[in-house]
Amino acid sequence: MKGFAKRRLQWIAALVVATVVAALGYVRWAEELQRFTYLTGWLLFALMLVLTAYNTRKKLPFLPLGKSETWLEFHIYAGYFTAVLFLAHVRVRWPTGWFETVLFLLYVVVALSGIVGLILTRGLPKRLTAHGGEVLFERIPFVRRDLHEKSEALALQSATTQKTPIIAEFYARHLGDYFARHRHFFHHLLEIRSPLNALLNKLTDLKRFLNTDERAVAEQLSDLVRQKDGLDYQRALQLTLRLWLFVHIPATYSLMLWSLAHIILVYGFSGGTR
Amino acid sequence: MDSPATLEKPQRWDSSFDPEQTPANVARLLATEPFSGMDPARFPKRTPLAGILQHDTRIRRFRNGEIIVREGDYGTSAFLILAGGARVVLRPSLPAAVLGRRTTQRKGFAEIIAQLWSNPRDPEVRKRAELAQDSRGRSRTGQDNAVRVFLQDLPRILDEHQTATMSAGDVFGEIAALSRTPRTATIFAVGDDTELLEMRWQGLRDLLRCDDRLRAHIDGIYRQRTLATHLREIPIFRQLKQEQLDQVMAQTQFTTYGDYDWSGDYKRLAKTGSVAPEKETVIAQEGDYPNGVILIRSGFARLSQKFGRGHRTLNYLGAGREFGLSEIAQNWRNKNATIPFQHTLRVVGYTHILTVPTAVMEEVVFPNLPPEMVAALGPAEPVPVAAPIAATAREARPDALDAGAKIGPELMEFLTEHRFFNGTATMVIDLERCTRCDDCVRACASTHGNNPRFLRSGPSSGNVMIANACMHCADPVCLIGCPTGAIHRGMAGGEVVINQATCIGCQLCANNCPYEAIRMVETRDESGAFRLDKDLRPIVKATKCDLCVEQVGGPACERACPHGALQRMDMNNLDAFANWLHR
Amino acid sequence: MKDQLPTPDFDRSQYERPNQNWVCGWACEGKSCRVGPSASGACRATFECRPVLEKKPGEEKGRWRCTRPTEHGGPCATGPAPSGCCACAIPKCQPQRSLRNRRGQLCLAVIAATVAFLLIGFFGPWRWQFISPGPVSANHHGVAFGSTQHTRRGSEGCAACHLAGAGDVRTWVHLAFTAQPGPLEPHRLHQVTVGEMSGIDASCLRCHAEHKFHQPNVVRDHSCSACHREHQGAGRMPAPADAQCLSCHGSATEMAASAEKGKTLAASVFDYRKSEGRVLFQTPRPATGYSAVFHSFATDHPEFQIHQQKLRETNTLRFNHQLHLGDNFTKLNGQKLACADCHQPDVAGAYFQPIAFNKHCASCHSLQFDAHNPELQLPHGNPAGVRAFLHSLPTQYADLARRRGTTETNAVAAFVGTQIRRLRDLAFTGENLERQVFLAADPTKPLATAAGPSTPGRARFAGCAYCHEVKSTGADALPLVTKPIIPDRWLPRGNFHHAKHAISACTHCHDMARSRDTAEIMLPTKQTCVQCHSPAGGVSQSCSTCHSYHTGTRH
Repeated sequence: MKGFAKRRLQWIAALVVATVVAALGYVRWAEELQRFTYLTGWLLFALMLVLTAYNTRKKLPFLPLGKSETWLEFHIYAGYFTAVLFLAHVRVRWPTGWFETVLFLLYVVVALSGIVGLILTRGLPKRLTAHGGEVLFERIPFVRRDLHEKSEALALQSATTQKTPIIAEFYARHLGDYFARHRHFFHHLLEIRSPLNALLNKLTDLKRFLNTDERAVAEQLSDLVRQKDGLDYQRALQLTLRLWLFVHIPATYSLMLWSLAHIILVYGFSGGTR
Repeated sequence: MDSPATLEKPQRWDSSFDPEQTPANVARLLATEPFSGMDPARFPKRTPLAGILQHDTRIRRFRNGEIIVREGDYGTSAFLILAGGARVVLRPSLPAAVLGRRTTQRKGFAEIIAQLWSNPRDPEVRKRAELAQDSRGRSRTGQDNAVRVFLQDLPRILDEHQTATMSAGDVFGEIAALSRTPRTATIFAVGDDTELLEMRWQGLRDLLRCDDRLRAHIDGIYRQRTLATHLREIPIFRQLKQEQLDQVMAQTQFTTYGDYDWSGDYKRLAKTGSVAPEKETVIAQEGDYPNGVILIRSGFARLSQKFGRGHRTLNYLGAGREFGLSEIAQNWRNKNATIPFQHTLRVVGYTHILTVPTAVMEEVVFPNLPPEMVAALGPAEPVPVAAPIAATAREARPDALDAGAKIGPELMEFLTEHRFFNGTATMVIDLERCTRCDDCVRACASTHGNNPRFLRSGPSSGNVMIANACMHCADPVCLIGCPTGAIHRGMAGGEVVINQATCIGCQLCANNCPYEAIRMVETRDESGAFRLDKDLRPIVKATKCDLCVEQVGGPACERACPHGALQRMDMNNLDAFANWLHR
Repeated sequence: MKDQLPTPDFDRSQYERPNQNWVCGWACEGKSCRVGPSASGACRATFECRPVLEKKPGEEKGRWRCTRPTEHGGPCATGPAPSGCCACAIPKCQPQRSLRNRRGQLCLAVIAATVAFLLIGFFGPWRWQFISPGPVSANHHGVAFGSTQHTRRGSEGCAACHLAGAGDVRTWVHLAFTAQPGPLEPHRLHQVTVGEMSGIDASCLRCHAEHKFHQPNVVRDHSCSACHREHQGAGRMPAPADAQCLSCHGSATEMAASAEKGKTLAASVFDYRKSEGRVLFQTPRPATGYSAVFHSFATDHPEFQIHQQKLRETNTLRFNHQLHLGDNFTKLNGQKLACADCHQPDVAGAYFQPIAFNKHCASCHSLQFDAHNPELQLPHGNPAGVRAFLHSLPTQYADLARRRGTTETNAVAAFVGTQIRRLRDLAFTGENLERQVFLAADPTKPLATAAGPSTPGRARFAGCAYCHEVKSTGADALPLVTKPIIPDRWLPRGNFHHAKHAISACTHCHDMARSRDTAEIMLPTKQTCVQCHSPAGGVSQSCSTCHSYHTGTRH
């Protein structure tokens, strides 16, 4: 088992070599070799096909197709390399026609979403782990319901056993909705703690109007609020880790179709243009 | 947990092996051999002979052809034939299917490809063919609701297999029970009125302790059958000639520590939060005189060292590892600068060890070894007694120290607390790499008929999570007591698998497993409706990770992880784990 | 790590199945039933158990017993209804697609949308604008181009060049697979097709007849589209790139082959340049043709042939630039003579109008041979005319007298007699006079004295031979005055635009102050050009700045 650093170094070295070769080839042949653009185009298309095939590889885990980890490493670094090929293919120029502008933009969307996705997949797990409260994404609604029921029971219990409805009222005003839904997606994503702090501060403020028993209830409620906050944090980050693929993968398919149409157009209309 | 809970201290015989064991039976047993020959006075007050027979034994009746012990099973008890007879199948062994084992081997290429479309779309679908039992071994539910498995067509089995007959007074199964090794042969009852006394392991241990005759008998069998093999596994003994090895074998003692049912105890203790290394039984104490080389035969022992006011765990020693060899070798070479044990060895759950006394080592073993081999065993220079122990130990055992130090005390404690070192294919997930994409779960489902076989969740410490996936334990407690032999070790790789056809859904293995790795599922037919038994209750089967034995290329979960976050690790090899942590 | 939140408790007894496409509709509420949706997403929830009828022996009706398993709560309190129906119905739900499955659905939707978009684009009314890879250059666009015979209607002009422009997607696909090399032959891409014009070149040739008008010894023809890139914007087509030229001129093998081929061709085939009414300076073709290998103008482009071979001007006119541009040389109005006084740009400003005697010389060099009668001047450009003029001198003088107002016959005759006598004093005979007019080149000779003194801005007429090459051909025969030929173009293989170089003085390139001899060609060397036309100079040094591949028709 090679360390991450060593493998990263190897991949980067391969990428640098490929980039240098491509850049030299571009400088040497871009103008001279009559079909250089065709060559870069085919290379780019073939590479994109392999990159797209990664999703298919994931659907065939029972075939001995190599480790998914290796595939992903290839996916990442070959993905970087497509950018080099792409620049060579468009000759570092903004496209002029409608069709090609869309193709260009599709590539940019796919490449950028890939890079954003990579940043997310490398960054968010560390935050999730540091934050804790690890729970399976599909079980989050169940845990939320559990917390909701517990908090509601606490509020109801305090309403029946205590003379003052202050906790129940507070619950109805501030906490009922908080426990009923998943909240503060963007706050959690951006690591903003203010919603939790505001809620906990309100609970602390409330305590001065409570007797000892009620304070204990309020304490339990703040504990549940913290747990719910942790749950929302898990959901926000885990959802983001899944959602970026909602851009990357559909855009990829669109890009591949568009590329195919591009190839047909190029060949159909070339009539032998160089 | 806040209230001061007063727990009643568990007593030796809180739960009897057979609550319906009658004093009349005990009296009858006391009159039969070998119990009639035992001296009740030699038994301690807390565990009298009659008590042992009362609480640790039960009388079982078997019918003609009924399987008593199955080859490859793990069992906790030994049997004494009281009446009737039994036959032991010598060779060839009975076919796996007859024993209720899973016979499906690695899938062919076409079958693997076919998983693309042939996987059922509903969860836990079992095709009728999958559930068909082998007709040569049929299970029946007897009057007492116990499941009994009978061999069909006995004459043919007797024809095709060489068997040996055992009759009243014979004891069998004691080695497997004591050394926690798989049964070596299948034994079935002959005649409808075969009566056996089943002694559970605790009782057998106490009997051995107090009765020389029985101990000599079992010692004899043990030495004769297995000791040579075990010793030969250690390199230094491999060098010896046969007569020298016989000398060593004659002197070797074997001891069993801890509790066979440690997993149940562990589950109880974990709930009360009182699992701590200081409470574990000490096998050898750091600083004591090294009185012998300790060889771990089965189970686990914790290697630790004093650090500050506590103990720092350095490593775990599993089956086949030795302890104290370097100290004794060092002392033999430098007679005037002897050193004590450098580490402490503690029982974790259950440990079966062999001890080769120091005298034997010095008189028989070392003189007959090539000198360079002895030199390689311990530090060459005499170590002053006053030298810091840690420094000595580092020289002596760099690997062990490195692993423990690299893993860190917190994680080591976590692994011990949860007994994770038991796993040979533990699913370790690096939470800082894992993107929670569930690719591993989906890969698992694709390779297991659209059913995941683990839960991507489990105890975690820092960035290490041990998922609820079968670890394929070195000491598989789930195997103990399976009534039909449905859960067993695979023939080739030793992975623990469950035969869906013979699993009766009794939950014994799921309850035994301390790691929540076995889950009971309600099976469905091809249409997606639950399969029901004749009482209209759903048919439940135990399921767990089978390490993709039927697939090519190893565990699909590991290969499917895009981020290298998931690894199936042999936790007996902490070096690999430490390397993985710092990869 | 100790401040990690604890993992919340959840039901671990069941597997989580993220591989299933449908999840129970109640799952987002946090409670799902144990039955689960069917594979096609239908709710299958019915009852919690299927009661079983238990009949004791002798009993008629029996009792229904609840069979709910203990894992799910054991037998329920209410028990089955008398009809044998379970009393605990599981609430039905609307199963939801799992998040992963929704991603799949989104993918399918996006694929469908893309296909739809492409189909609309390909079959819709704006299909040509949709697929166009960019605006066509001005030359191939607009009303004028649209009205050419080649344009097929209804295709926005695409069909003028593209065969595929005449049809729809089917045609495109069909043509795509007939392309050379085809889409399934990427391995042939690196091969260079030799001397082979492609389909689209045929479209070019319909208007741009005759492609092959580069040097006849070209060994590798280029497709039009190799150099001319269309669809690059609405302006002019961009100039061909240097690399295209250098693909041959930078390649030693190509150039060697080209030189070899040149040797096999007759010399006449190289004489293909159209003069188009201009006078081209004729340079002899080098033995190996123009096959020097070079890589850029600034570095190793060969020196201009004029300098390389030290060619000399063959013009017979004697003109001394140094004299004319000298310090004590003034025009009539007293100003110094400037280059632009004679070299006047043509309409485009690229080159200069041809030098003409009447326009550029006559104002100083009047052909006045008699100082006493300055009105009388010799005709220019025609030796026979000069002779006729001289023969008719008495008539000319009489004419002059009358023009001056002397009408009386005697007075006129007297005037003519005086003049002729004076001339005879100078030249003795009419034959001698004629010879002097034609052949005298020395301004100190008698004729020149008679012609009057040189004054600022006026040159004394010394005789035709002063400027021209005049050859005496015999006693009575008319002397031969060689017609001066001044080349309009000195570097016929390149273009030059003088107006664009107005930033520098003429003398910066043409060092005329040193030139005394007409035969000296005062063109700048390549080095002078490189001062600016180089990466250091910052001005383009691309081939197309000066050269055109298509240098004229070849016959």
